[in-house]
Amino acid sequence: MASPEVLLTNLLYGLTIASALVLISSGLSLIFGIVGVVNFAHGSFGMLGAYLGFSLVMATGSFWAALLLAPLIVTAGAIVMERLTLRPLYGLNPLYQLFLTFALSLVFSNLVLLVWGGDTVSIPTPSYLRGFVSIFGIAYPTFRLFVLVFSACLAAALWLFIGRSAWGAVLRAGLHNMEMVEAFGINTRALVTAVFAVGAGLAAVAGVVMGAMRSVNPEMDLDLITSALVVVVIGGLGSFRGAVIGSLILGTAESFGAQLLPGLAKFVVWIVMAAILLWRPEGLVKDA
Amino acid sequence: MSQRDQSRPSPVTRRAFLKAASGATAAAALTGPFPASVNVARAQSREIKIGIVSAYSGVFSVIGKRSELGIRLAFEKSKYRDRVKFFIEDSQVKPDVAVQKAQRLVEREGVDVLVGPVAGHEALAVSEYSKSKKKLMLLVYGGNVKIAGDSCSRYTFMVGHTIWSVSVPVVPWILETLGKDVFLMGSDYITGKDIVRWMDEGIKKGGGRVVGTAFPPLGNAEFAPYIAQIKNASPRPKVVTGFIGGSDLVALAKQFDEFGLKREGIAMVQTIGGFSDVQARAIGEAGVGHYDIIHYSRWLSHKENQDFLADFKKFAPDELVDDAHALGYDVGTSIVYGLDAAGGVPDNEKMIDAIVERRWVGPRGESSFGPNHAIRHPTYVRQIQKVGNEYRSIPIKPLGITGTPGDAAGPGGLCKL
Amino acid sequence: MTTPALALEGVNTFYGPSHILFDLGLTVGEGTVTCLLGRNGAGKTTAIRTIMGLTPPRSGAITFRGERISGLRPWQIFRRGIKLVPQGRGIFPPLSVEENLRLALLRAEAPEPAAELEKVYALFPVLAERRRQRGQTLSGGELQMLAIARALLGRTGLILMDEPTEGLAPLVVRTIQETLHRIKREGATVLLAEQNARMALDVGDWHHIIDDGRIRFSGDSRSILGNDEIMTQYLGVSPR
Repeated sequence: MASPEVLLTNLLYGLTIASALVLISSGLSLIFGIVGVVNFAHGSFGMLGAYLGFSLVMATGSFWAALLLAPLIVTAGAIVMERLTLRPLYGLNPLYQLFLTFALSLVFSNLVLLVWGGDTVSIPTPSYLRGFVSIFGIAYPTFRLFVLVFSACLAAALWLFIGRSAWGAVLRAGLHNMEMVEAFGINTRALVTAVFAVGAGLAAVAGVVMGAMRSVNPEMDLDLITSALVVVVIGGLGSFRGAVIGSLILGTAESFGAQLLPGLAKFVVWIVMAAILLWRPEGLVKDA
Repeated sequence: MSQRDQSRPSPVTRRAFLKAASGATAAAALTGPFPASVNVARAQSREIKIGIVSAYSGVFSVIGKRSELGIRLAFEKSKYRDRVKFFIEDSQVKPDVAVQKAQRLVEREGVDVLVGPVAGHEALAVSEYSKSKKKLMLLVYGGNVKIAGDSCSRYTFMVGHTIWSVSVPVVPWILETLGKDVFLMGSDYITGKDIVRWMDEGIKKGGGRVVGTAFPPLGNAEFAPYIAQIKNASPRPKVVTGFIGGSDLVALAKQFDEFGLKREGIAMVQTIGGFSDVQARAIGEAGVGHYDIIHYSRWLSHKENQDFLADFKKFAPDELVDDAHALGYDVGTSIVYGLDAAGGVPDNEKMIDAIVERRWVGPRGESSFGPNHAIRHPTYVRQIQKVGNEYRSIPIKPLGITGTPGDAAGPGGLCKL
Repeated sequence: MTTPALALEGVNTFYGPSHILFDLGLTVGEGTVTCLLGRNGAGKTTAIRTIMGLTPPRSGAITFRGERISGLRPWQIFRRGIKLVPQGRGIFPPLSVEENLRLALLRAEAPEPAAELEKVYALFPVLAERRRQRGQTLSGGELQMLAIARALLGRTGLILMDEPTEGLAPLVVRTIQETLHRIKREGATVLLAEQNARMALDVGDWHHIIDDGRIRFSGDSRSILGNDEIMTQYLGVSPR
């Protein structure tokens, strides 16, 4: 049953999913890290990205337009949302923020039903990405490989930015002590908005690639937020490295779980999560 | 788009009011004060209250809205158009909410007929309630086989289908046309499991071979591991069939193509009309050539369907008509039929006795009810084809008329009415 | 003294419902080291946080070089040249020494960041040695030097220092003390919150004694050294 080809296919598939998960979960994790808000509406950014991406492909015929513009539109919307709704609640009881973002996720899902109806759609991919690539003798779909490489490059760029750049250092400092960052001349409200916006944009990118690999439907916000929450709980809230590690674990657990324990795929993920929580309740990684 | 309103009664028109008033006056003039015939006249001119408990929020809201339009069209074309008043409630696809809303409609609003919810478990719950209240209920969807079997009810009519009637009848065609080696795949919940079990039995009985079975979780969007199972099955299947729910199916069909199964010539057959026109459009090129089984298609050419489509065009020009509209319409015309038979009065017992005998040719074709009140409808094999720039799910083969047996060997057990 | 660099007038600060600073008034002269002396819990840290905008006052006025800064946010106050050496050092442990310094330089209006770094490395050679090390690996004294170094980068008009010698070994306290003298010689304006009266009286030009969130006495070092009541009651030091 588990021939080397099958194992390799599952590994590749797990990595592809993991790379897309990094995009969706890193924003959730970083937002929590700097302002302590678990943004329940984060999955909605992915869904909105996917639906906008779908409409953009339909309107322009270009997948690349969707991949570029949909995240930009979502980013702009996220900035407005953060300023108008979340900002007044920072520093209050976290329950308020949870209620608010939960309510916003309902608003977004009804917005999607209103604008796009309840029908499932999917984002057409460019024809030259539809074939196969041979990797170690395994025919792997080109589009998946593209998603893997593209998402991994984005994640690597983000990693370098956070780890090496001056503003990355500000972010890492903010994860540790936001007040002190402000005391060193940095407008942390603007910083929060920026992180929120980038996180939303990355989620939208994930939405577009997921919407092309899978489908775009009014329930995908829940799928995305659930996966992202599992990732950050495994990896450790507020840590980019944790989001990467959590995504790798979730992606491979899902792929190998479905292969080795058919019918228990989702179950395997929860077991892995429970085991990690018992072993290290604070998640695998502490710092950014 | 204000479908989320709790109740939206249609306004009583001036014409209806005048008609009612003049009818009553005429009757009174003929027979003096308060004879029995006045009550009949009053009854014949009073409002007919239809209570709809359906999905109006969440993903299934499309189904609720579309089928409601079908019901409204049926009344629009009837002589009750000015007397009918609709009461709309959202079941949220939860059995307890559905019963509570049905209760509200029956006990507070005093509706004359109920139209039941869309999911199997809530349909059963509301059916039990309507039985206890002796209130006529018609189901648009809610194809729970129990309602056709040991939980059947005199007061419940399954107008749409059961999950059995739009799945299992395709098995002989698969074995005959596509091949004997079949891989079964069902979403991991009751409907997917039931359909896979029934099809498994049917395939073995029909001389076919089940080379593998998989149950991806409901809400699954990643089929790569399951596709790997199909690829590793020995012998390689000729057909993949079963039931994969709604948006999961779009992902499956895309990945089926992405991972090359389609190119290999493996056929996919979906049950319960999985590949509707809307789904076909969502899947795009990757879906072309796949099959499904269902009772309706807007591409059916018989006169009754063409009339229905033309009427819909006038009634709601922007709607892309699909099976939800057609089933709603059949529910609506069945209620109208019952009212006609009961002399324009919503006498539930008389209506039931009439509806059970109803035979008609509707948008789906020749239809009637079995003794267990489950619909007998034509079924078709459809195939996704590209016509111009459009992806359509076109009927390619009629499979005859199917009902759901309510006997001890039937999928839902013995129905005693 | 001419116009003070910093002036507080009638400042009231609260933490939630609890009133911490009562009508606080004090001044810091340009080019002086002014000390805020008092015991634990007297309100020193709150006063520093209030000036920096971290715990904004509910009433009263704070002016810096004639401009009202109360009501501004901390980052705006920083950009007017007010630098904080916070209690507990406030170093970012996951960042390296150099990253900590560069973060402080980012908005410090330094035309030549590299030169600024060299300046503080010259002042604290040990930081130059540890420039790649993470904050969390430094000793208490090194952390304090790093905290002071951060405040010296770029355009600095006033340094707010909150208990820089707290928890340090006597030898390290001496080093910090020498550093303060050096900064003072170079003309910096400092508001130093201290419990360590001996060091404060040695370095400081002017002192405000704070207790229960109120200024009890203001004067130069000599006037305090000569006042046994203040020395015992507020500073917990037995007169020599």
